[in-house]
Amino acid sequence: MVKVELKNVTKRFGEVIASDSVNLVINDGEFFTFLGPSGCGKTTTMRMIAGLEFPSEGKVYYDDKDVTSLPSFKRNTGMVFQNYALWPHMKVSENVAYGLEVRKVPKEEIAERVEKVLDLVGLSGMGDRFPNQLSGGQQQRVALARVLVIEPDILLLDEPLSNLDAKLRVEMREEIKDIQRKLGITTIYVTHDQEEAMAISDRIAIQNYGKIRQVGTPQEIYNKPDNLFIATFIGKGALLEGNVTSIGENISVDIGEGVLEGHNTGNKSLEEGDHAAVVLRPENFFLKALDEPYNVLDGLIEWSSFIGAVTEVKILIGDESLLIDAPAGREYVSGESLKVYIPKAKTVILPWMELD
Amino acid sequence: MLSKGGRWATRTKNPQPYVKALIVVFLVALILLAAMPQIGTVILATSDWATSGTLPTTFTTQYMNTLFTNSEVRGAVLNSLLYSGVAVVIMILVGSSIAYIVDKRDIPGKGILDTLATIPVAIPGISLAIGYFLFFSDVFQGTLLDPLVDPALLLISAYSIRRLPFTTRSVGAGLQNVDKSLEESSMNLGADRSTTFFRIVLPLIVSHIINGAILGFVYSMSEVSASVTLGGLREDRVPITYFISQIVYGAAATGSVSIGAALCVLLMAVQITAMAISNYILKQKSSFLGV
Ligand SMILES: Nc1ncnc2c1ncn2[C@@H]1O[C@H](COP(=O)(O)OP(=O)(O)O)[C@@H](O)[C@H]1O
Ligand SMILES: [Mg+2]
Repeated sequence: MVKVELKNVTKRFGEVIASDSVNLVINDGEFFTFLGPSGCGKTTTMRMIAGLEFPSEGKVYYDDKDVTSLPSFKRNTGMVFQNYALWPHMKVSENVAYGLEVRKVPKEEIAERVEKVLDLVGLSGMGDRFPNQLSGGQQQRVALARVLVIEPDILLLDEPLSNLDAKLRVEMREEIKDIQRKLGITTIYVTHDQEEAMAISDRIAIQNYGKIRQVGTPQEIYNKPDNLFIATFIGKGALLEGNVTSIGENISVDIGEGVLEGHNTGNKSLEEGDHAAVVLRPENFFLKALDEPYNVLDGLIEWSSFIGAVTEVKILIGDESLLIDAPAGREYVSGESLKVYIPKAKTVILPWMELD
Repeated sequence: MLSKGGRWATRTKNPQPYVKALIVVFLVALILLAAMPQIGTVILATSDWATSGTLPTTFTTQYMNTLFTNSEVRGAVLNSLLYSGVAVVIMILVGSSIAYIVDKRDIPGKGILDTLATIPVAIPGISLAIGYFLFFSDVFQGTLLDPLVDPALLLISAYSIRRLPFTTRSVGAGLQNVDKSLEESSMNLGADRSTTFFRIVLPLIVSHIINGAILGFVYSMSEVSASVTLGGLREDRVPITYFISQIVYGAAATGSVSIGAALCVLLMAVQITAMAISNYILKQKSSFLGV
């Protein structure tokens, strides 16, 4: 198990900057996720950690040892590829045994370890099949077994669940998390699915246009987004646009239908008159006055949808629609008005930025 | 995965029975017409004529036997087998290397390499052969490379180069099916480049290599231009096609047209066998890869 460090790592493919000045420390035993829209450089960054791609600039360290130009086969990492990359001419057991064979592990030990790891991923008895005789989920497990068997220092997973159906995806991600916890292995995970990232990770790095925009635990990123891109990329929420009217203990923003007070979680400060965004999460709306300082908005019910624990209600404030989680125990009639209360402590205000 | 037809209504129509019959008759006639020389050759090689008449009168294995008994004929057969065999090895080694570099490595000048490997298709065999003769008999006069001393090496070289594009293309097609990630995952799991090549890449393209080899072998066995130009420069080095040409021109000592026909039958047999093997291998491969 090792700690991974990236210092000022940049990777260019001709004109394209796939990874841009990445600085990161991934701790020993941590489940660390790169999250970002497709094409933002997640895979490239991971491939540089695996030694399948080499930085144009910057350094990669394993436990303070410089591995920047060490080829992949000397790094003892295990990478699961997005397409699984199973070898079609080898049986499952041969695929899994390969990493041990090239390490010259004795035959009996190989057989033993292959069997054990197939058991771990729930594939015992499947060793004699060929990859094309397996379902997508099973192939995924073989790919995982194939890297786990070598007891890698770092487990690298590139969108491992993207080819599975929704139900299997949730199942497999829990299994991966379980296995990782059991083995305590430093794990680096790549996904573009924010829910998956939140569910599985100890820490998340959000990447966009090659740059790392924020690193933190799922809670930190959800509750204290550094900028508007992060706030809109993670979780559900509503966005109201306005201008800063005053700066005090709280920041006040005039959104046209009233003034909201909250605080700036971003890494850029706000001045009076600045263009700003108010970010409101669905679970932070209440229908009664609160004991703590709060904002109030008058809304018009557009529609509601009962989903069990809460009822999702879409309300219209001015000409903006917001989604709120409302208590399930009552009726919400379209067209009626609804007053909503939001704690000031949960009202996030961020400098405006253009999103694409 | 290839999809086998879309959701649209099929556009084929079943023809009327008499139309079908017409098509069959037409096709059979066409094939017979096209196969006339081969049929004639087989008849020529396996039968004898009475003194006059159009049709052969007796069946005989005597000409086919000549392939094994007559030392001149047997020599030509063995020469051709040897030249083609060595040429195939060269073609495979060189062709595979070029295909691998062009497909998998990012080195400067690989485009030029690719072009160079393809050019022989466009060079007429006869110019290659005459060029060889003029160059090697002059610059390498008196050495083993001088065709007047021994044409064997030049024949092998001509066979290899003329058919190189076929093996290169065949292996290249195989390599294109080997996704980069298959090699990367091998290296990621601790295998160096050469282990990765021999354990992952090679098994996945071996059928294409064999195919390329078979094609190269068949073409070499029946190569004419260089064989006819250079092959006769030393009596004990003549390949099959040179021998046949001598019979055709009426210049061979063993001069029976039927023996020439027997040699042609041998070449046809080599081709048919080769095609059958190559088809079989490709079928095996697709069933095993599930494509
Ligand atoms: N081998 C390569 N050659 C050229 N461009 C590449 C290569 N690999 C990635 N890129 C480019 O780098 C950018 C980041 O790609 P990638 O790391 O795969 O993104 P992600 O995994 O986040 O979708 C993309 O614009 C992609 O087109
Ligand atoms: Mg990717």
